[in-house]
Amino acid sequence: MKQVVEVKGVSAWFGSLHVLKEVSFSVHENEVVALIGPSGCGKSTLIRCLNRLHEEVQDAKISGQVFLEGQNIYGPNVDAVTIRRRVGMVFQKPNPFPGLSIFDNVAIGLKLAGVHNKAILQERVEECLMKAALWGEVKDKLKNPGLSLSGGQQQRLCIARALAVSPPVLLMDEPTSALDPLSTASIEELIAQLKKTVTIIIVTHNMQQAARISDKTAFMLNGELVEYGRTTEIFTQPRMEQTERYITGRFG
Amino acid sequence: MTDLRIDRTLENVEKEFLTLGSLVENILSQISELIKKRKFAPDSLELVLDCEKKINNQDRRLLKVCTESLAKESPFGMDLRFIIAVMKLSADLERMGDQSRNIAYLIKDYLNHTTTKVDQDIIEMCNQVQWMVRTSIEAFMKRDVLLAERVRENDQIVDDILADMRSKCTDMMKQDTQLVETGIDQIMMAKNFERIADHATNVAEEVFFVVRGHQSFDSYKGDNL
Ligand SMILES: Nc1ncnc2c1ncn2[C@@H]1O[C@H](COP(=O)(O)OP(=O)(O)O)[C@@H](O)[C@H]1O
Ligand SMILES: [Mg+2]
Repeated sequence: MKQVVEVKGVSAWFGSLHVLKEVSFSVHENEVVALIGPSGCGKSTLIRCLNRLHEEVQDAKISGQVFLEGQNIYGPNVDAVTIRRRVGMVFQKPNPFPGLSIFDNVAIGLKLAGVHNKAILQERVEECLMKAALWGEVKDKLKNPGLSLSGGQQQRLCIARALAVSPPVLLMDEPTSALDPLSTASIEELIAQLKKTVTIIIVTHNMQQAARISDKTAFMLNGELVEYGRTTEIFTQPRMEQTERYITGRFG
Repeated sequence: MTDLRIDRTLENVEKEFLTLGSLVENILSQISELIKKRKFAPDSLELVLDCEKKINNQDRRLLKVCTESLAKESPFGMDLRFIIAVMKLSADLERMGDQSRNIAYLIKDYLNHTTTKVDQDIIEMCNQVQWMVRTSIEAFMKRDVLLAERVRENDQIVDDILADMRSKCTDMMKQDTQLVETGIDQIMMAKNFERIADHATNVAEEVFFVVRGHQSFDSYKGDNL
């Protein structure tokens, strides 16, 4: 299996606050990797290092290497914007662009990437909305504002938007924590479909969710990657005492 | 440590498991009494059958408690392994009840026969099996891998007694055809005891699974290679 993401000795800081400590792991094609760990352990920071968002924070620093399909994204002459196009991101709170229609929310990424042909746009938007399992619900109201959708639909719209530029990797930071159980279930179902074409790294604080949807799980604590392995093993017989304590709810 | 709901759930599973365990120990001590005192009172068999019924009911109750715990708590790690182990062992303990009942049926006739030189072997087997059952349950409750290993090793002793008894009984039956019935009853009793010892060994092996996620001491040691 092809390695899509390889993280090598990544450390990160906010000013003098050292929040990631020599994190290394790799993710293969068609895998869903769940990042778990207590609040503040560095999960969001870690995934923000994978698409060069971390450096956008003032005084933030990073060291180490991240390879995306073999290319070090922190190498010289690598453009952060290009990287962000290849590594999509979905956040906890659905954030459709205000003022844009459902259609334009998905089309905008393509337009920014230089696609202006109407037929192609139409086709790509439909395809992405289908991939995001939203097409059936919105096909008759593509001109309505993105914000007119329900929370769960907005989140799927954001996923469709992220998919528009065909990124090989999709990062998700607690994508269902603001959603009701039904919408959560549909996003989980969607993840299972998407992994056929996209490699997904997802932060979740819902352990059952991590167990349900991921192939591999990474457990983090205080900025360190404590254990990384097959999800079935992490949740049934983890190697590290700290992992065992965390997954059985006996942490701290 | 804070008071966790999962801990209370597990305590409840443990409590129900111990109830099943003590019923099994109880049926075994009834049998042990009968064999050692060689007295079969009119209600002896009934008492054993009654206990066996209680074991069946408790087995079902325990499975229900486990199923509900899985549904409600979605346990992970050692908690998950513990409940899975209890569900498997529930079946082992229930089988011990069946085998004890089989032995009780055999005892009635057995006690009518004249005494022979293998009687002492049966008593010894009964003692060994009682120790194994008691100790395996204790090891399981304490997640005590070393104690579990002692139970596992003891299984061989019971197998050896059975093999020894078999040849003694065969000789005995060849020499005196009057003793054929006695010999057959004795071998059948011994065989049932040997099965109970196997189930106790299963209980011991689950200790490794709960503690380590491995089935046996061997793979547990292999883990460190
Ligand atoms: N923008 C920021 N400025 C300063 N510190 C931050 C910032 N964002 C996060 N942190 C700190 O970095 C650490 C890791 O945070 P984060 O990666 O968000 O953890 P998690 O996602 O696991 O909850 C925490 O101690 C947090 O307080
Ligand atoms: Mg976070």
